[in-house]
Amino acid sequence: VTRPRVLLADDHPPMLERVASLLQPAYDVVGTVGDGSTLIREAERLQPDVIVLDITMPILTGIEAAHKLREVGSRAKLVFLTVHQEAAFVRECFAEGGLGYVTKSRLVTDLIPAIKEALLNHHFVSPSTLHG
Amino acid sequence: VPASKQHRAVGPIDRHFLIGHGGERQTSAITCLLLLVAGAAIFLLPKSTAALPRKEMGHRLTSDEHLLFEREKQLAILADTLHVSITQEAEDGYLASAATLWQPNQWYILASLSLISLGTLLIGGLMLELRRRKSIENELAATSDRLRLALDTSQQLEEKLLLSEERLASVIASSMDAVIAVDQDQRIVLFNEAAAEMFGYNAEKAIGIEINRFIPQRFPLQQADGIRHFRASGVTSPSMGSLSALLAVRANGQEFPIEASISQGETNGRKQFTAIIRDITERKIVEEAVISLSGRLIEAQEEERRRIAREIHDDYNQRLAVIAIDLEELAANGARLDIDAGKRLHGLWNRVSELSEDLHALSHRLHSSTLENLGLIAGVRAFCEEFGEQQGMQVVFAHENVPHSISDDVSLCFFRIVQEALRNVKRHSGANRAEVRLESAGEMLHLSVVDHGAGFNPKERSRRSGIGIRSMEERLRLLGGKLEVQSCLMEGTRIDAWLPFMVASPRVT
Repeated sequence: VTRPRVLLADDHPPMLERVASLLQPAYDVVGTVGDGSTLIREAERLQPDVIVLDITMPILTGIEAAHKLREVGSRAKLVFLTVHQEAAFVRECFAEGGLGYVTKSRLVTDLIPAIKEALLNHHFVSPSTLHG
Repeated sequence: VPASKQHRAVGPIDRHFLIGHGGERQTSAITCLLLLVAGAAIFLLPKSTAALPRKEMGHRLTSDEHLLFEREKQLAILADTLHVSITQEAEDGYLASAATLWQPNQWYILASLSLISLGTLLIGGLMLELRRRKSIENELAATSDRLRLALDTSQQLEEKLLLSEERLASVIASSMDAVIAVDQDQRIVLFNEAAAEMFGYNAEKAIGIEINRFIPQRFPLQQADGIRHFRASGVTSPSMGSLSALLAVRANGQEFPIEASISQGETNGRKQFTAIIRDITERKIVEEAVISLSGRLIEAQEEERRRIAREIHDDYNQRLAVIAIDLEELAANGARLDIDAGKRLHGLWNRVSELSEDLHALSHRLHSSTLENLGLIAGVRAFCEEFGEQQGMQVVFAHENVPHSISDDVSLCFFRIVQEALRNVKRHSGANRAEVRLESAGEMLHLSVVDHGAGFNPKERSRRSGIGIRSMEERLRLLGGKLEVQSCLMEGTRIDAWLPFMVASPRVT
């Protein structure tokens, strides 16, 4: 059984560390990046099944990166992991092709179910988001 | 004292004088008449009394018998006659002596009487003349007094006039503002020291030259129109009233902003225009400094808010998120802990999550993360939704042809105007519905916020809402935009804002 390949994007190393350690038992974490621009490059190079990405990142935000990824024809499923809880963000992320939307304070509980849903082309949104 | 009044004052005295003069004439005529009558009486009386005794002189005796008797009678008669004649003789002698006095002297007497009459007449005339002279002298004295008074008054007036002229001249000379007067041919007739300094032109040499010398020829029409209009109507036109666009030119060719008020008058039947001109270069500099300062204040405030919001979001919130994750993980692996500790961990996780959410909300209030990350449309839409939900209002948002990437300044400006306008709707209108619309209109981005609430009288803007509107105006002005506020009592309020949208330069990839 091949484990799904996951690329992580967040500008906070402690966060990357925790996400990686959470996912490693079930997924193949192929790489971690700290900004949107590097994410585009690494996604093209690594061709992951799933990208877990933060929204607030230097150079390109997660949403702008998602837009670019669609433009370059990436087929990776996008799961956003963020502290933003406004519905506007969820809307925007989904408009740019995102499937999952997980708030960081619910990482342990929600991220793995969100990735599972995304791999099935289903949407997932953390229940803590406003107007969610 | 005016001349006419003096005339009136003289009138009654003159009439009184004439009446007195006429009375004197009458008296002197009566006196003459009396004198003449007396003279005639003296002349006639002695003649009549002398003629009477002479008619009774002839007596005759008739018989002898009666001779004695007759002689006796004759004797008696003779005695009587003698007596009478003696008496008569005596009387005649007296009369004769009187007659003899009159006869040779009658011409002298008449002449003297005439002379006396003449003298009396002359004396009377002289006395009248004296009285007339005295009255004229009195009159002259009174008139001279009045003249002296009038002269004094006119001297005082002249002194006052001189003083006020001196004052005016000193005011014009010492005025901080330039004072320039031109005649109807636009030639300078007055050019004070301040004008000389302001325009860098010798005050004496300026007299007689055309005012056009000091008006920039770039805008000849505009200002000439204003002056023509003023000349025709005598009223400074609104464009000259606001005067913000008026420029003048110094002798060295340097243009400078001025403020001027023009008045029109007439000297010796010729129209004259006097302009009081103020050099507002300094004020313009100060105004620009104030604008730039308030712009910098707004910028600094926004920058500070953005910085704090980012710090909260990117640092504290992320660190809290990590703590929350650790707590969540610990709680999830609670199998290795006792039940009590597991519950407490779960509680801690919830509290940290709440704290993280609150911090995020704070950061969002300081600086909208939606606007920051998702742009103007998403930012405004999110705010409309949040505001409507929090305030129990229906806020309808619509947009049309708005470019995706708009400069951060324009986005933030419109976002703040929407915030302020919706807060005003909530605070003042009583309306439960508001419409927010964003669209591109040519080179401009147009925002409108409309409600159908209580409205207000734009002339009686309340201080609070006034400040709100002022801050909107200020923000727009900084970016070259403009604001229009229309409101009608009981009908609602409409706010329109326009900004030239500068499409943001694409971010470096």
